[in-house]
Amino acid sequence: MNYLARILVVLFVSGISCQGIFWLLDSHLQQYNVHKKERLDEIILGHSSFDILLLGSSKTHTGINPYYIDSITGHSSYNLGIEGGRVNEFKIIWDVYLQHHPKPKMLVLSANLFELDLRRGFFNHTQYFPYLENSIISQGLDAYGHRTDVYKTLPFLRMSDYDDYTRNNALKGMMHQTEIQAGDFQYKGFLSNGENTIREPLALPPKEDARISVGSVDLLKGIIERCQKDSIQVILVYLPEYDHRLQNNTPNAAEVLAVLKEVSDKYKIKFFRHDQLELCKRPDLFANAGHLNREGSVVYSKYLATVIKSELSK
Amino acid sequence: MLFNSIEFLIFFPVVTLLYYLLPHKFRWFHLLAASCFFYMFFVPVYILILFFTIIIDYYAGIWIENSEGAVRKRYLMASIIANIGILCVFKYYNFFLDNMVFLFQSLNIPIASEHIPYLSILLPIGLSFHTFQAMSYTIEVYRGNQKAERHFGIYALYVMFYPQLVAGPIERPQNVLHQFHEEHTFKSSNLLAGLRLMLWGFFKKLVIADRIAVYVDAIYDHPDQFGWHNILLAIILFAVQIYCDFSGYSDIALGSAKTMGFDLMKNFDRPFISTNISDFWRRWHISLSSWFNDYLHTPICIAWRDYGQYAIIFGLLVTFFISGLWHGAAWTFIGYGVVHGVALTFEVLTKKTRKKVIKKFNKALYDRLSMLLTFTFLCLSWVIFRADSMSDIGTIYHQLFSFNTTAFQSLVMNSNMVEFGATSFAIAAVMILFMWVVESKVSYSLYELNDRPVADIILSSALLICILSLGVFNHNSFIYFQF
Amino acid sequence: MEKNEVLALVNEVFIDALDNEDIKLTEATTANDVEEWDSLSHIQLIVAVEKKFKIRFTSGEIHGFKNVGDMCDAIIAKLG
Repeated sequence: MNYLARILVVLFVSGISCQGIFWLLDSHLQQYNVHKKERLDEIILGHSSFDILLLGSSKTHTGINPYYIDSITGHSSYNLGIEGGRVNEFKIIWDVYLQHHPKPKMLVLSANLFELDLRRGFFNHTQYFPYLENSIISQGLDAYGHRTDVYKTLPFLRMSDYDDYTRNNALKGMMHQTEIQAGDFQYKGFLSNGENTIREPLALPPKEDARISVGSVDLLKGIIERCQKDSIQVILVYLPEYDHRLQNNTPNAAEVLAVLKEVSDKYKIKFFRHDQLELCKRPDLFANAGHLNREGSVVYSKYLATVIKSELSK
Repeated sequence: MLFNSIEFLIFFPVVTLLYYLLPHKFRWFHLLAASCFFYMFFVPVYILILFFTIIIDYYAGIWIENSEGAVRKRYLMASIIANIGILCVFKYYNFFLDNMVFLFQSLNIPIASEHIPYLSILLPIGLSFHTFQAMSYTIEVYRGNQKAERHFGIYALYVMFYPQLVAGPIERPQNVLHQFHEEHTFKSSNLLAGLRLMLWGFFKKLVIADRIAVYVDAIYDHPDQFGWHNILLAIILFAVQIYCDFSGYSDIALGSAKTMGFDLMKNFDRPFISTNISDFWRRWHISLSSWFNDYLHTPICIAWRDYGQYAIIFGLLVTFFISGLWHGAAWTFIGYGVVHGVALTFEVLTKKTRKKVIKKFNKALYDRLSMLLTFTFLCLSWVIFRADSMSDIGTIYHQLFSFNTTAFQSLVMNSNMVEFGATSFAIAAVMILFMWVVESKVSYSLYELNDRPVADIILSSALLICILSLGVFNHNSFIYFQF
Repeated sequence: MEKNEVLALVNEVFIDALDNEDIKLTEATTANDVEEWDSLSHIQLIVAVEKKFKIRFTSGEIHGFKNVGDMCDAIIAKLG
C-alpha cells in the first residue's frame, strides 16, 4: 500500500476510534457526575433566586448544609463549594452565578490556607466541559491553558485534557456508580460526606507551605469588591478543621491567615475563625483533618446559621 | 519550544511542508530561520551565545584545515577553550562560587555573602548539547576526518538544526554536514517513517513518562516522609521514567528530522537488557557516551598507553567525573558520574575472572542474573541523579535499607483518591508492558519501514489512540491534593 | 615486509590479546566485526601491536585508523 495512504488510514482510524472512546467516556462521566451536573446546571444555566450563597472549597461543599441555614435564618440559601477550589475558581463561579441569578443578600466566603496557592489550575476542570458555550467558563478555562475553542470543534480532543481522576470517574460510571455514595445525599448544592470519623494516627499530606501566588489576593478582593458594589453583604469564614492539624502541617499558616485578616480589615467585613470552635476538638465530627463528616456538618451548619442570622439583622 | 507543546503541533507541519515546497537553494535558509525561531521561544537573547560560538568554530575549522603542524593545534585549542569557556560561565560559574564559599566557611574565613558576584541568569537551554556538537566539528576537522565547511549558513545549521538543538542526539559532522548539502526530494516513505517514530516518542513521553512523573516527584519531594516500599517503587519507576522521557525525546528528534529526509544517529538501544555497565553505556545516550569515548577517554588512554590498565582506569574516572558534571552543575550529578566510573573500573579489573566464571555457568541464567544486577545498580545510581540534594540521597538509601514503614505518609487522602491512584498505576503498568513487548518482541524495527502495512497501521493507530485518550497533557494531575 | 605477513602477525596479536582463537582479520575488518574489540580493548591492541613490531604510533595515526588495513599500512610505513 502506498505510504501516504497508510498515513491517511491511521489518521482516519484513530480519529473515528477516539471519537467513539470519547462518547463512551463522556456519557459515563456524566452519569457518574449526577451531583456536579445538577449543581452546575443551577449555577451556570439556572435563574432561581437565593438570598445566601456559600462559596468555597470542598470544606464548604460538604460542610455546610443549606437545609439548616434555610430553616434557622428563614432565608433561602445555596451551596457553591467547589472540590479543590481556589480563589481563581471562586471568582469564576461567582461571576457566572451572578450572570443569570437575582442578586442575593449575603455571600459567605470561605477563607482557607491553600485558596491563595494558584500553582495549579482547576482541580476538576473537566466538570465544566459540558458548559463551554458559556463565555465566562470558556475564558476561565482558556486562561489556564485549556483550549476550549479546539474542544468545541473536535470534541474528542477534550480527552487530551482528562486526568486519571476523570478517567477513573468515567470508569466508575460504566460500573453504574455515581459520585453520591450509598447512604449519602445532596441538597441545594450540598453533598454529605459519609460517616467516617477521625482515627489516630491521622494521615496528612507532606508538610508544605501554602504559597500566596501573585494576583491571588487581588482575585479575592475582586470578589468582595463586586459584592460591595452590588450591596451584597460579605462575611469571611475559616471553616472548622480538626485540632488545628492542617495549620500545624503548613509551616507558613500564620502568614496566610494574616493576609486574609488584612483583606477583611481593608473591606471592613467580619472574619470568623471557626477553627477555634469547641467542636473542632471532637474527632467524632470529622471525616479527616480538613473535612467535617455528616454528623459534623449538621452540628456546624446549625451553628453557622445562627451567625448568619445575627449578621443579616445588623 | 518543547516538542510536547501546542506550538510545536503547528510549527512542525508548517516547517516540513515549506521545506519541500521551497527549491533546494533556499532550504538551508528556511531550516536555519525555523531553528532560530524554535530556539528563541525560550529566551530570545541567548541566541547571541549560539552565534558567538558558531562564528568562532566556523573560522577555527577553516584555519585548522589551512595550517600545518603546531599552529593547527593552537587553533583547535582556541576553539575548545572558547566553547568550554562559555559552558563554564553559563552553567558552572555559580556552582564554582558556591563551592568556594563553602570552602572558605569550612576554613573559618569570614566572607560577606552580599559581595559574592553570583550571576542571576537562567541556564541557556540545550547549551551542553550544542556546545559538544560544535566541539566535535573542530576536533574532527583537526583529525582530518572532516573537511572544513565553507558555507557559513550550513555550518550554522549543523549546530542549530532544530530537531537536535536542545536535547540531542549530539551529532558528528561526518554524519550530518553532507546531508544539508544534498537535495532531499519528497519521499512518502520518509514521511511515514518519521511520523511513526515521532508517535512512538510521544507515546513514551506523554503516556508513560509524564504519568509516572507524578508519583516519582511526590516521593522525591519529601523522601523523609515515605516508607521503604513507596521509595522502592519510586526508584524503579524513575528508571522507566527517565528512559521513556529521554529516549522518547530522541525518537521525536529522529522522527521529525526523518520527515525531511535527514538521518540522525540512534541514541538509545534497549538499555535495560544490558548485562553490564559497559554494555549499558553502549546502549544509553549513545551520542554522548561515544562523544566522551572518542574525544576524552580514548585520547587519555592513547597518551598514557604505556601505563597499561592504569591509563584505562584513570581515563574512566576522569571521563565519568566530567560526564557527571556535564549532566548538571551539582555534586549529585558528579556523584552519579563517579559511581559509574567506579563500576566500570570494577568491570575492567574483573574482565578476565568474569570470562572464566561464565564458562562454568549456564549462559542464559548468567545473562539473566547479570541483567538483573545491572538494572539494580542503575536504579540505585539514578537515586543520586534524581535526588534534590546530597542529604536527600542519604535519606532515601536510609529509608530504603532500613525497611522502615513507620514513616509512612499516606499519599492519598481518602478512598476516592485511592481508587484514582490505582487507575493511574494500572494504566501505567499496561502501557509499560505494551512498550516492552513492542521494543523487544516486534519482529521489525521501529526505525525502519517494512512491507507489513496492516501490522504497521494497527500499531500506529494504537499509539495515536493511546496518546490522545491516555496522554498526560496537562500538569494538573496531582496524585494527592491539599484541601 | 609484505602486507599479508603483517596482517597475519596482527591477527596473532589480536588472538592473544582478546583471548579468542576464532578471530580472522581481513583488511576491511573494523571494531564492529569483532565482539571483544571495544573501546577499552582497542588500547590494549594498539599497545600489543606496538610491542610486537617494536614501533610507536603517533596519536594522530591512531585516531586515523578506520579498519585493520589502515593499521597495517601504518605498520609497513614505520618499518620502512
